[in-house]
Amino acid sequence: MKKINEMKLEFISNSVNESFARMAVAAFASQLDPTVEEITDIKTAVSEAVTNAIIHGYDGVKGIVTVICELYIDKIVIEVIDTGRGIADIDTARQPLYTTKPNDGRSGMGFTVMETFMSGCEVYSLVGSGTRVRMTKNITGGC
Amino acid sequence: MKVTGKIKDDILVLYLEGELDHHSADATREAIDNIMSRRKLKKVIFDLSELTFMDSSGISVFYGRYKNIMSLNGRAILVGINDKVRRFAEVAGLYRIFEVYQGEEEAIRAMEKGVPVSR
Repeated sequence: MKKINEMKLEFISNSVNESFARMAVAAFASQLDPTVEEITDIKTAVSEAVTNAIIHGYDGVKGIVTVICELYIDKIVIEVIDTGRGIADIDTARQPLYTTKPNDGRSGMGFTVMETFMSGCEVYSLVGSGTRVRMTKNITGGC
Repeated sequence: MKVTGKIKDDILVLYLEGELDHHSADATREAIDNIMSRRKLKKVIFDLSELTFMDSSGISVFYGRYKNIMSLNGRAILVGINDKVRRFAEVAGLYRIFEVYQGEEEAIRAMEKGVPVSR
């Protein structure tokens, strides 16, 4: 399928940038004329992925979070990438309520939310190298 | 994220305004806990009508406050769940944990009747 647009964001793993990232992706996705619900879903999923990158990927160390978005006629593909610690066991990390930081107010629902709110969610990770979360959202109101 | 409160008799109404994410969760948690401990009230209504965004960081804020209120034999109600946070509140299970009413007046009447909905 033909790609109609693409963008890339890079920002420091500062939690204040979570809002920036989801707003920027939502603004980019608006080119496909999504419904309000679809935009809310995208914002929520991006927020979860970026928060994971900041909290788990970099874990207090400053690093760069990269967000790449590709627009197709009827979907948006979003990748959130960090070059942090990586995930040793992706299947376990994706389990609902699983968290390595229960004492830090984490619910362990990040991946579950991404899977629920997006049409597809794939996770690639290598310990010591980082994590790439690739999410797809089909846009029903697409142009 | 802004948290303000008002008291009606022995009921604390908390107004949450803005975006509740990982960045704002700690400050929100602290603000709610400060108001609750200062006022020593255990009947709490959370008004979410001006909450414009919530992700899973918000779940732990609400679940934690719910647990605290229940440990005091109190009562917790959510009101004003708007379209921006409704789907997330459903997915996160907030409807299964909290009593939920449309608006503040309805919730206050329910609190005053003193009959919590069993869940």
